[in-house]
Amino acid sequence: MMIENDGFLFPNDLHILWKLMIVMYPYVTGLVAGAFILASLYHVFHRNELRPIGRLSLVASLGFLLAAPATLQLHLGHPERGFNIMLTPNPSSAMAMFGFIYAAYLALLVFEIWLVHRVDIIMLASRSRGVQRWFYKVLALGVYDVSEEARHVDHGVLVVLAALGIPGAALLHGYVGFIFGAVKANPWWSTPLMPIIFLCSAIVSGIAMVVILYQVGVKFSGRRIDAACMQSLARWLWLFVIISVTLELLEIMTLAYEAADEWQIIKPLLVDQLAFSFIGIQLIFGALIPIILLGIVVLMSRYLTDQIRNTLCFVASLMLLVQVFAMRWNVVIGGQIFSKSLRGFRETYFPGLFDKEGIVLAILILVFPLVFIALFNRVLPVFEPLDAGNAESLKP
Amino acid sequence: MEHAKHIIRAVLLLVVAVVVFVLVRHFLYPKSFGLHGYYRFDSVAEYASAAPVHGDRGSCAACHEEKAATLTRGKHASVSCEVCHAPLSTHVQEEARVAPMPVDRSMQLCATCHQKLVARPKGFPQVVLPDHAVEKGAQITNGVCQECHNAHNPSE
Ligand code: HEC
Ligand code: HEC
Ligand code: HEC
Ligand code: HEC
Repeated sequence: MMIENDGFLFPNDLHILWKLMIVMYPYVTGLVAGAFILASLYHVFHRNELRPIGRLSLVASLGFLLAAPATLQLHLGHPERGFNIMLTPNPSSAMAMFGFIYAAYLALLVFEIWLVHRVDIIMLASRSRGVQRWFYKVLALGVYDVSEEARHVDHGVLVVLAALGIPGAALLHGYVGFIFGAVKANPWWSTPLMPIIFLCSAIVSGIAMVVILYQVGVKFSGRRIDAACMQSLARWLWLFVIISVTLELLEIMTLAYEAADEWQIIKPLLVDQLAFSFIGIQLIFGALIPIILLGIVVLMSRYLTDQIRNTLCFVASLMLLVQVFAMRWNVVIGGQIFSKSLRGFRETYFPGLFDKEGIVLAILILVFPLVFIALFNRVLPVFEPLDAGNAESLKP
Repeated sequence: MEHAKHIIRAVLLLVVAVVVFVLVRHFLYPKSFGLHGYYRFDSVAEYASAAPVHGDRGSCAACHEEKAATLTRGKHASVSCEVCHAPLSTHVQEEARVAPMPVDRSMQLCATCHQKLVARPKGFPQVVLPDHAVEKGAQITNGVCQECHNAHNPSE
């Protein structure tokens, strides 16, 4: 009830309208795009050392994609009107395009996952009985062609899909950055760099999420963590954190060096209002430390045991997941706690526990994809194909 | 093409999905949408024919003449009765009282307009709540403001 604040505010500056769910929205779509782009490194660019996570990252991407609209629905005052964005989209609204980009991307992702698992589906159809068999038959669309030629066709289509998926993922997430970057009234958001910054940190969060899912998943299924794969993940992760943090700092250095009007408010925003979440989490805890940890993995790989490498990667990934969340928070909330007059602040916002845009629901949204992956794994193996080589012998 | 049968089926499935979407959209698309701009034109007529929910000062005055007179005399003259109470239609239907009108005596009611905020115009009377009442020597209870201020004429 009591709202304290200081400086000068306009009457409409008092409320934070884009709350926790709008922080979650770019976070979750970022995980989608990041995991997908990682998968493409294997499926399109044939980084074969990434094979162990080729399927996992696609399925993770789908899981988070399915969870993404929940953030927007929870944000809406009238969720039942959410679908209108598909019925009567206003072409002058950046948001209106979301529905279509989302749907196209979903179709592409499902198609790709289906192709990747197709041979397994057919094998499972041939092994199972009754309802289960019927289920896998439908999944296979009634075609049991696992011949060399058919696989060749699969592979061709897969490369095309994945190649289409890269701009798709970049679009899906770059445009989320654009929604902020295009708000010209807000100097903390309005920059053409925004889509790129969002995209790079999305890749960071996606890879970090896959590192964690892979390590945990492997533990649960009693396999061993592939050292070459983990080393490669660490290398990519390191590269993208460095790019991402550099871009984030570049943006701020430009603002600081230009020292235009808006710097008067952005400086206190960063060093006072957001001191903890920006300097503490986004720069030091979430970026500097993981960069050092991953640097050790990348540069001193020869001296590391698998155990140490895995632990370093795991810890760094957890920290990076926090970093990217903090970055989203600092953008979304940070952009709303200062007045459009550039002369005052409202008090910082903290989400409630059980609110519609509260902490419990946010956690559930993040748990959903994990459950999804676990369930998916019961239907189709997420880690390794059932049979690497001779599928010829299997005719259902 | 012989070995691309599954791809063709998958693509057909996609086409079916698109067709279904187009059909669904066709049936759900609001009829008068976009006729005169980016909205459903029928909604104009719907709103015009809706029964009014709120009244005005005069509509309360018809039965609460004395209260209305008190209000008009004081500093709250510009404040509508329904802001502090509730819409007319919840209380009166066809010129007869159908349900009690809520009476909110809490400090929060006054705080919505009088809590000190930088975003309010300077000249507007603002106090820091609940400190103000404590300073004046009152106990914080429900209805504390009414001990010294008449809600209908606060300077009385
Ligand atoms: C600033 C807010 C405010 C406005 C404006 C206002 N009221 Fe009230 N009203 C109150 C409060 C608070 C009480 C309770 C007073 C008390 O208990 O001492 C009250 C009490 C009443 C009561 C008496 C209820 C009872 O049980 O004694 C009536 C009747 C009433 N209001 C009618 C009106 C009418 C009619 C108007 C418009 C002409 C109006 N009010 C405008 C806040 C307001
Ligand atoms: C048709 C006449 C009528 C109109 C119009 C009317 N009231 Fe009343 N109101 C009554 C009657 C009758 C009572 C109950 C007897 C009493 O307390 O005087 C009442 C009681 C109240 C009370 C005390 C709580 C209660 O319900 O017993 C409040 C507050 C009140 N009215 C506010 C309003 C406000 C505000 C308006 C205008 C939006 C309004 N009234 C319009 C007839 C009316
Ligand atoms: C809907 C907004 C609103 C609410 C709610 C409201 N007031 Fe007011 N109040 C006003 C306005 C408007 C003025 C007149 C300001 C002016 O003169 O510029 C005013 C003036 C006052 C004044 C100053 C009188 C003076 O002599 O300067 C006091 C005291 C006051 N209100 C007390 C209260 C109390 C107590 C409540 C709670 C029962 C309350 N107000 C609820 C809008 C409101
Ligand atoms: C113990 C008596 C007392 C109580 C209780 C009390 N007030 Fe006052 N209030 C006063 C007096 C006396 C003034 C006259 C101006 C002053 O001395 O500041 C006043 C002035 C005000 C003003 C006008 C300030 C200005 O700058 O013009 C507002 C608004 C106000 N009170 C709101 C409230 C609200 C809301 C409550 C309920 C929490 C409340 N008061 C409770 C005694 C009281």
